[in-house]
Amino acid sequence: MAEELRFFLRTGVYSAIVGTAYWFASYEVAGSVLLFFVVFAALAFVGVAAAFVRQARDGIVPDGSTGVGRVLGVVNRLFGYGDEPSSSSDPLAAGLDPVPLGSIWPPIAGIAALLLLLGLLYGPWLLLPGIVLAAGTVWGWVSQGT
Amino acid sequence: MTTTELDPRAALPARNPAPTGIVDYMTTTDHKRIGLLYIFSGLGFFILSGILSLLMRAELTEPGLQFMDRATYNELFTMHGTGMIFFFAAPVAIGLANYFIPLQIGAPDVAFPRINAFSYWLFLFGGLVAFSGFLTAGGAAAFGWTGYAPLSDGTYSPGTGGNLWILGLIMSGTSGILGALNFVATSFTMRAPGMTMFRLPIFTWNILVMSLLIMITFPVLTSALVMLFIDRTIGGAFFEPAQGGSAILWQHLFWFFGHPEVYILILPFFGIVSEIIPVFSGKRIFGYRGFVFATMLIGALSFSVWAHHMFTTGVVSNLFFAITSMMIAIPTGVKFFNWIATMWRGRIRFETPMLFSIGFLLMFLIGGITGPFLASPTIDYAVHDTYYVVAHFHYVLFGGSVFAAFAGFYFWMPKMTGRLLSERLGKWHFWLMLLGMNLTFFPMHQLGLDGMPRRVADYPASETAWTALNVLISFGAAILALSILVFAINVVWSVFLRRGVVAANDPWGGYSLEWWTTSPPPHHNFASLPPIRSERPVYDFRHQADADAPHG
Repeated sequence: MAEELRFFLRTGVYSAIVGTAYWFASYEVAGSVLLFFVVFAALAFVGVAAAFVRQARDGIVPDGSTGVGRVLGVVNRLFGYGDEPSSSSDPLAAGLDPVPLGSIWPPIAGIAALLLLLGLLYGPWLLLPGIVLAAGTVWGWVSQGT
Repeated sequence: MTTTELDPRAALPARNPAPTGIVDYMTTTDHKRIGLLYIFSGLGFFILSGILSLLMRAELTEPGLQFMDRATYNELFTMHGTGMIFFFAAPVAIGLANYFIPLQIGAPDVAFPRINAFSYWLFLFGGLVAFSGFLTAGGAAAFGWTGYAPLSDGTYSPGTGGNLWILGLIMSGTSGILGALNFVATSFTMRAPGMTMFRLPIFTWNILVMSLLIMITFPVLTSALVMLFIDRTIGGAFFEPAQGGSAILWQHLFWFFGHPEVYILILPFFGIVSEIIPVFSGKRIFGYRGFVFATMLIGALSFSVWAHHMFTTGVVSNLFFAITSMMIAIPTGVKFFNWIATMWRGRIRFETPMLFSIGFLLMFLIGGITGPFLASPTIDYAVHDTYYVVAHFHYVLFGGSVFAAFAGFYFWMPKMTGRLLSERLGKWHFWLMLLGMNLTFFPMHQLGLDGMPRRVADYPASETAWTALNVLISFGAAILALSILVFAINVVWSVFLRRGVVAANDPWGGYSLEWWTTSPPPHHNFASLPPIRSERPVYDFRHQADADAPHG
């Protein structure tokens, strides 16, 4: 999982550097806010994944070391580009994953979204059916099995 | 281990009983069918937007107004750009990604199949809503695909067409965000065992970086569109300088999306040619990791170049954006070096996918070279809003994205449909398109340097050099249209009339996992997979099987 986190971490670190340089080069607010929004979004992903996904945490915290070695190991894994260990087993040895059934709800959800948005333009005669259809879609979507 | 043991058709589960025909396509959550829906809908918008450009070329062939008034011309160029960028190039890339990412990583489907289907319907309805402006009394949106405020506000662009354009783009943008989340989740969590991140095919990597760009920039565009909608409909003043708003804010928000959008439109197509060139050169891709990191660097740099579109506003740091814009040439050059090195001393087969890939390299190179010129503020001041800019981005997006898209169609159509497209018609298509493209877009460089502004329906008859170049450009556009007609005939003849050669599982000697399964793949994609020990597992297995075969 480490490379997946590094993918976002690199984005966040790069944007932090560029955002800082941009601010001092221009003192322009809109662009600086946008760049720091990228930093926040990328690091939020890394933080949430590292906090809640055990595989992700295991991927960046090295086993068997303590103190400074552990910290350096984390830094190395975060900014390195090592890959996961190799596997030569049959990739489908565990069996086939389930494939979902078709569903009528995605196109109906699309129609509901269409009515809701056009309702903002043309008025309640489209907005109200859109709200009803959207509510029905949520119910149908959630209640349909996988 | 033998190929017989790993026959992809072995022990496939029976397909679930399901509706057939149009209902099947409407209710499908199968990534392959959704991919096809994206691709064919995208091609529909390509033809529609292409017809708009032909109408514009007809008008510009001679000075004076022959076929339409200026307002209609404004609608045409607005919807041409909107259609090509939002409803053709990106959706076709997303369609190919939908079809091939699960296949390339050894997964049965995407992570969220129903959300995937919802994304498609949002995109389709969004496109129809945006184009439906043509059916309203005031006509379609007419303020350019960039929607600059205050031109796009209710005062200067009244009418429903502008509002429909905004709503269509909001739907399309939301669709893109959902699709990007799906691709990231699929690539991260559904890879077959052994398919590590640095064994992902280059196409999948490029889609991953594209998805990151979409996830970061599309919300910015969507927010800006909502603000513009509020300004237009309920008296907001986000972009109204007279009421304390800022027109420049629109440009910042739009281009913070708009420049990464260029890379959203080109990275998937970099990925396609990176799949094709090694296969048709009989070699491994040169510098796999360098390629991946160059892609990441292009994605990262694309966040920091947006205001090179705003040099002439005088309110941005031109030095900062000139430096960051020119830096993009470095990772792009790395990619070019890798493509050339992959072909170097290879056993190159000049079949249609490879011809289009080479065409892509040459055409994109021209677009790429004119990029650093435009990244120089001094030159940009001279050619800003002229046909030079039109030439540049058409070499990037037509010479780049469209050539590579057709390379991908010829390469992957056998996998998607079970039929090979005709090589003879394919080669006619390629040469006509190469000729038409250069006759259309190359003279625009000179036209721009001569000072002809873009987005005008008429020009003075006294500018005889402009007239000559415009005649040439219109002639080239007609050849381009003819080349697309050849492609359409090829698809109808080979696929729909089923006259094309039946495709084997692996007609090209491909490397990645999509070539392991049948053509077209079964509902479940795979019943077996080869061991995955590199980024080209099918090649590895084929050569292992060769090594294991009895000799003599």
